[in-house]
Amino acid sequence: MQNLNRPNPKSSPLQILQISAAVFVIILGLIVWAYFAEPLSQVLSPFWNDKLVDILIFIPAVGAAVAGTLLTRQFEKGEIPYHIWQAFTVGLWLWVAGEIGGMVNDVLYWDSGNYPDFSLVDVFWLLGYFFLGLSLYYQLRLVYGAKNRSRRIYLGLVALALLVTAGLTNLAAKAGLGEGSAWIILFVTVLYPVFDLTEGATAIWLSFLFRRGQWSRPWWGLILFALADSVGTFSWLGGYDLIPVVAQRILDFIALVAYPASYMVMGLTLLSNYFILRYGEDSGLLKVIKKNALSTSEK
Amino acid sequence: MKYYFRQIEDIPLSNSPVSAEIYFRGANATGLIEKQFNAGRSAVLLFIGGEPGTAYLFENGQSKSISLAEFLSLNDGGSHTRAIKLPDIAGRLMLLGLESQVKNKFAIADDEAWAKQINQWKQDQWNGLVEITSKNLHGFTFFWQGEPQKSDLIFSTPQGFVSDFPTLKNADDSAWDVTAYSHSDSAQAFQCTVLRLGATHWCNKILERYREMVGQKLLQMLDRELNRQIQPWRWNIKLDENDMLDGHFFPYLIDAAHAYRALFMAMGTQMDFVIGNNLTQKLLSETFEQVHPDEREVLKSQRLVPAAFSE
Repeated sequence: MQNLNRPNPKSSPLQILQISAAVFVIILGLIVWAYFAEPLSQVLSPFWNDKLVDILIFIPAVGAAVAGTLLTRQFEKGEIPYHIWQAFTVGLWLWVAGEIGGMVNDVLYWDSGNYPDFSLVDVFWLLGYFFLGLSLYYQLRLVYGAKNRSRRIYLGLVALALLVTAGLTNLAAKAGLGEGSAWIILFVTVLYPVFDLTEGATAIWLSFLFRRGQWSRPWWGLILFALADSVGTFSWLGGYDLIPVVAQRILDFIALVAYPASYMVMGLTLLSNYFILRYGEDSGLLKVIKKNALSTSEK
Repeated sequence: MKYYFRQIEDIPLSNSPVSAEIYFRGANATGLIEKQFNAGRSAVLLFIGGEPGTAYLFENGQSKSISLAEFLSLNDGGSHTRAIKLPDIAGRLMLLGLESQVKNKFAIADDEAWAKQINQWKQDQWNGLVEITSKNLHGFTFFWQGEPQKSDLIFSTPQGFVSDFPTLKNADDSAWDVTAYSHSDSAQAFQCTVLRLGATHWCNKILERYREMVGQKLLQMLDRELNRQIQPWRWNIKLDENDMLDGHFFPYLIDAAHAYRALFMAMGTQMDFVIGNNLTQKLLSETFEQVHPDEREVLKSQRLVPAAFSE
């Protein structure tokens, strides 16, 4: 077993995590500043200001996917956690592809403003949801004691989500939402909040099950992501018409911060788990439990 | 005449129980001092981790517990004193035998008859100790729910102690004298044995489930950390992957319970950190339910229950 590597003495895993967290806080500050102050809009153009925000979000997105890859590689292929984190990581890389696709779309359609109703970006995002959902499914099955990794039940659940979405799409169409769009486009639009709600709720459930457990923390990112997206859904459903402007601004701010923060939380927690697996006790991240030397006084 | 582990060479001492005692105390060793008298009488004093334990006198085919002072004063002129060092497993099984009553004695002349007997115990789900004595073999094995327990199996042979299940052919014996013991549930050594089996089986299930949830590396980290924490206590207990290997000789139930409580608490704390207290509690409870009801009862009687080991 003694295959753990010693960390680089110049920078301990704890220091790397602290530095990464500090960098992410700075990036978050820059995103808020760039979004509200629009510094590049005056100097260059609104397009470049938008790209600045996109790139600042892209950095933690890639960071999270890389951390997920590193973590997955710490497990043997036959182990159940390997499949959980592999699906999670594939989902994150697909979202990174979605971020890139979004930027490419901006380059292509910014000036005309005629963005396609459905593009490759949606494919990446939806596939990302599929794999993140698969990861949640594997984790839940493991927690509840099921040992096989049959995907049939998961595919059945996805089919059920699609059916529910179809029903909601019809309701939305009747309510006059998405007027002028094709049914399939409205369906995809409704699919996002359905996935958000399902995965966010499952992630919350897992977080309750794990409480503060180190291994559950990457799921916190998905909760933040669902929170950020729910603001958009609320707005799309016409909720903004019912609340004052100040409340709208607050919700916008929450969505603006929660979205990149979700990548940051996933990235830092995945990296932390990677360091624990890679360096073990030498990571310095297990100090909390090392303090509890074997004692026989009952809790 | 009762003659324990005759294949094992004596510790070269000057036929004196005192020098043997000094040896065992100095080495913190488990062992026995055996006094052989005339007329088939003998006495044995068991040392447990360097401390003198119980002494027994064998007379007219019966054994009775005697005090340490009585043992030391026993001398009918023609006695021969012998001292041998024992593995903890041999010591604890010997004590279990001494605290038990002979249920039946029989001879086994071939491996087929032996296999048949084992099958019968399996079918009966018999719990008890078996002692085998022959020219080339002496030792014990404990059967639990009809299965010989790998952790409680030891035999002395001309090559030393072995912990493999014997066959007549392997032992190069023509016949075995087999003694099956029964014990009252209240016997200390029997309770220690069931507690040990319960703790071991529960621990193995916990480790297996934990490995499933977090993978091999984190399990190995847990093993390493617990082994490190066990070290200062000098318990002969080791965690290896999914297994808890308990080779320690706890003479008293309270000592064994103390050790297992400490171990499970440390395990719970480590798992809390990784998977959180809720899942740790769930894992402990689920695996506890999988433990055999008799073992669970003994664990419960010592307050070794899931609720005690997770916040």
